[in-house]
Amino acid sequence: MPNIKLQSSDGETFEVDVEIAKCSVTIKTMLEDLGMDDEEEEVVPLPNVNSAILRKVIQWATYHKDDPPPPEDDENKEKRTDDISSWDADFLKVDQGTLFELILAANYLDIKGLLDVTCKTVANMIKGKAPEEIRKTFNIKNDFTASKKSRFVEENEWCEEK
Amino acid sequence: MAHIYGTKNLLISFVNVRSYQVAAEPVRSLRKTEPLIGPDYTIFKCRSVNDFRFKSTEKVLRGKKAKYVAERDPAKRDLAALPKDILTNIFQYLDLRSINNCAMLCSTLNHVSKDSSLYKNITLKYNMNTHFLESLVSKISHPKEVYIEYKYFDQHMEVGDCTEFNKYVELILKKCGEHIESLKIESCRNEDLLLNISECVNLKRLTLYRCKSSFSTMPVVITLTSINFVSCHFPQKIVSNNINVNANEICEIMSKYNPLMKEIHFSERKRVKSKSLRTLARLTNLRKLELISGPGFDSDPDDALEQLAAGCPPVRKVGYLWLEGNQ
Repeated sequence: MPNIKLQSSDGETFEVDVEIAKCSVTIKTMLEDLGMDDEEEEVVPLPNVNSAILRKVIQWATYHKDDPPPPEDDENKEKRTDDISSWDADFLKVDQGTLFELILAANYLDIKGLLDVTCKTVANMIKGKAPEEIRKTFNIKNDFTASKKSRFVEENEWCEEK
Repeated sequence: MAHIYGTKNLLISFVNVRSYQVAAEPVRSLRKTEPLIGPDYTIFKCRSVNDFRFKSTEKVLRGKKAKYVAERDPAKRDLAALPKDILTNIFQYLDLRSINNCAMLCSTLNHVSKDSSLYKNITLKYNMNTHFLESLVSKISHPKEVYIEYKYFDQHMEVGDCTEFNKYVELILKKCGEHIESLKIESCRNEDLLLNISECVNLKRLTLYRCKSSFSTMPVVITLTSINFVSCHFPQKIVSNNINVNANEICEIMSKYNPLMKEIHFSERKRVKSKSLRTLARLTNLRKLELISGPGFDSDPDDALEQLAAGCPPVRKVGYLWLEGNQ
């Protein structure tokens, strides 16, 4: 199986099986557009992904290389977040910064499976939390003016009893 | 000279290119050895190309946003700093309550929370406050599944004043009824309001719990494939096209106007007479029939069932859940 070299933003080069690299639609499209040149050592620079994240992404893609292609998004399907496999759950036991960088990398490289599972993980971190807990967890700055804030709170505050 | 169309970011590079131009920006010159990598574009090898159109502008733009965020201090990781399409992706996994909690936190999340794609599956409850309903209804444009809940009702209770709430229910049904595929209504005692079901011209599944309704809308909603009635009240009444409607005759209306019907579930105090049951034989798509109260006293249920079965092609499964009442 031919290999391809991927270069992270900080200049580290990773040699990866082409089939594994192709789980990134971005890389796959690029290789198809360019055509593979066997004679030459191709290095694909990925300026939006640093080496730590790229290593994680390759680890994920290697583990999932034999997965069936992810199904197209079905609007009618219920969006579940409790179906994360135990391997993925372990894999995503990382600090929040890394999790966010993985999301960005999955988005940039267009790896649907990784994007889905990372977004679900963030959704699980939001669910069941009160607004101020969410603010604290995700370091969200309040940029509302006082009057705007009270309007948004009114519009969005859950009210069980009238 | 290479022209790069449609995007500022990435993907392909050119060898033997002396200058290049990104979209409307000025032409830039290159020394021969200079790699075509800039803050906004990384370019791959590609030979003798004068014109290259990028296939997926959107993807590339996302890459740009990603870069912007990646430059921030990783220790100060802020959810709201993620690109909007990623936030929408995360929000689609959230329940309404969590989305609203996020919407209160900052303007970016508030903006993302208004994306109508997040409101495909919605619940309107009688005890939601007016501001909340107002804001919720304004965000809904293409709902697929709608659940409308009034205060629990049984015969011994007073119907509360739902004028305000009715206004929003009517608005939703009128504004986006055509998009609704599944509609569940709980304890609505306002017949006039329920007439708005006729706006749901593509409705497939209708469920009514403890509602009071005439069934004049059913001949309009011909797309129905599944219907559920639980403890509803059907006032006897002549409707527009002279159909005498009551609980036992809904079957007759269905057999006439809802030929696509696949599943019927009745859990009513009144029983379905065998005459009505027989008419269901006309519903050639029927797969599942559940009559929780059993057949009427005056009939021979076996006979009616046989006729029903005879009307159905053998390939179809007809299931009965037959719980006898007090007999």
